[in-house]
Amino acid sequence: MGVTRTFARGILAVSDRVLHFERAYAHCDIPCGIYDPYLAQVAAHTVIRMDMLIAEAAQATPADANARNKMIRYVSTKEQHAELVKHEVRVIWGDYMKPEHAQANPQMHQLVWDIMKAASKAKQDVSIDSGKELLGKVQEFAELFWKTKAVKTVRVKSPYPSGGELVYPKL
Amino acid sequence: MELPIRLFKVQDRSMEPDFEEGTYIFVARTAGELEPGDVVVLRHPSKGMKLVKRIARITGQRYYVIGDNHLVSEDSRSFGSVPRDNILGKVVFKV
Repeated sequence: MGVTRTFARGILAVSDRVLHFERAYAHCDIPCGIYDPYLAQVAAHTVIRMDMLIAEAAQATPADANARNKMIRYVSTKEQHAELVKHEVRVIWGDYMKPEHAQANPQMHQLVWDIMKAASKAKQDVSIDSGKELLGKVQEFAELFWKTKAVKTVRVKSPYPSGGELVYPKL
Repeated sequence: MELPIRLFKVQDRSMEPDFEEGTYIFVARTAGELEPGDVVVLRHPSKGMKLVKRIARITGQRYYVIGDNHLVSEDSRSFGSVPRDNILGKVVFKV
């Protein structure tokens, strides 16, 4: 890009911040095929399940090396899956969602922020309620995601020992 | 009243390499007859968003548009040709 063009684009970029020019989307369709909030839901279910197993392990006697090993593995898995929830939701929010999605769903940014906080809380606590709070918000996000694609959703009973539900698209 | 020239910023990558993401484009509402090869801004027929694509062919009053970066573009190959009314104008200048 020449100096003149670089300068002109710089002027336009500054003006854009104030005037908010319209967007014309070249519309790459690769991401549309690979985004799915399913993984975030499964990760949230895993967090709940780890809360259950940690509570059970805490009652175990004797507290020998084997029991401690189990406990550490449960805590580690809970930590990883709460982080996975954050990662999956951040990717959909940051890469897939567009300004028009946020306009049509004004609660979206707050919801994503709430998920980040709920996932951190689920890491800090050993609490099934904290895990359920996280799952509930992730399911709201899943419903919002499919709504942006004009796809209806259905909540079904989860087949996992964590209980609760899963949000599926009605394709 | 619609402006004869509108300014857009290109988002996404399906018009690379000629129109990389972040390019500013000036779009003329009436810039003569549209022809295959022209780059236009159009309204997505179902989603309503504004797209930038290149006209591949014109059949009657229907315009078949394709992104230059074929591998990643969503265009008439998926949503079909569009009527003239969907086309907001032709790109006449880019920065």
